Amino acid sequence: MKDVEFFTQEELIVHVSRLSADRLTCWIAEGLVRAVDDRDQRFDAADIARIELLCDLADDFDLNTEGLGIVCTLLDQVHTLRNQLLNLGKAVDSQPSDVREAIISALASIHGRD
Amino acid sequence: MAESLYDVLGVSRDASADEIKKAYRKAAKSHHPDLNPGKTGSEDRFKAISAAYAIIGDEELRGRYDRGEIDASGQEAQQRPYYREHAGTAGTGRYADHESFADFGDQSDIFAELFRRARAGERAQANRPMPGRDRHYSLSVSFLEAARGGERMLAMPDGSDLKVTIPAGLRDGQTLRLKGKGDGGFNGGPAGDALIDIAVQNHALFRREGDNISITVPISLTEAALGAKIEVPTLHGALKLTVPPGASSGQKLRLKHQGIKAKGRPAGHQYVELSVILPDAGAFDDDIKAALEAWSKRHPFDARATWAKGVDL
Repeated sequence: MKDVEFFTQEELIVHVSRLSADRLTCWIAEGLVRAVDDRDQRFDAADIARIELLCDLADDFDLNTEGLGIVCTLLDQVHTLRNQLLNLGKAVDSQPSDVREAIISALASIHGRD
Repeated sequence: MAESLYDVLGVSRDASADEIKKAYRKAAKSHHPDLNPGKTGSEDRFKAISAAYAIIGDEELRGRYDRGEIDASGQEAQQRPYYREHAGTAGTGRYADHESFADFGDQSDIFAELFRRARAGERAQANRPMPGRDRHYSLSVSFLEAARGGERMLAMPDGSDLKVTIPAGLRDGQTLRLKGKGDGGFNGGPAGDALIDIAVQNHALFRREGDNISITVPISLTEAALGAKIEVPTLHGALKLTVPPGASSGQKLRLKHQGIKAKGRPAGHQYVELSVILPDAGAFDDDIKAALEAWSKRHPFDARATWAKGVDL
């Protein structure tokens, strides 16, 4: 694994062929793409992957900026939630088996109520 | 879909190495420029056939091509990055959205705690003092309670009652914060607060603008013409109000400092808007009609003399 690589806005545009300078400016202004650090305006591999996704949504699914904003908000929520859920699962895993059993049966009884 | 290398040679994807070799020889023979000197386009076709064979004729390259590791030209296929591989890793905290889960706190303490810590960007430290969680309530108060102030008891989920002091002049949509009345703190941290969202109901007669109160009061024709002392309700009890002779509908009289008396603000006023109400037509008998006609002749009056002056219509 090499060191974390950073990209400038210009490098992002070179890297992602579907990305224009206007598009990038707009997405940054809308907060859809955010620099790793505000001062140096550097981006990383996650931003490239995110921009690829945004390009898919914009080009292949005809989403406008508002649509992209909604999708991104939901997507970020889902990822945040997934992470927290995963962390919670790991925390539960690290408990003694009787605690794990108690949690599992409590979950089952909540499902029963719903 | 672009033509696959198997299509170029005219073989199926599961063709054996032998079949591929045979197919290549056959295709190469019929397209090789030197073997077909007069055939146009044969050179390009032959190049394609050779290139295809160079890959799927080689066991290792064929495997990599099948797995999508290299493309039809033998180039390393560009590994397209997917955002999900990055999302949620330590490097993408700037995209994390903890605010959207604030409501989880109302239903699950463990999630409230998780998101609280995540929001603060803290690593969970079990022994650190943590402030308790804020609790949210909503309280509907009557117009008069909000205007005059008072006390209300709010039933807590644990069965206890929380005394809520309503300050005079409380506005609709305001939030009262009762310090330390939320959940208890952890490891010696301070308790959270109770946050009470206030909805103020309307009143049948009183209206409110800031700390001023207005009310519309009906008066009779006689009271309007001759003047009168009438009783008017205020937030602080009924008061006598002098209606001057010759009062009109819409005229506003002020009861100084009889509006909302909020702490720390000058008292508001109460504005009384007069509304002249006439009796049924039957009450206008011949005597009064004759008197009015005579009176109108003596005092001609155009009620609409200045009404529409200078107004674009």
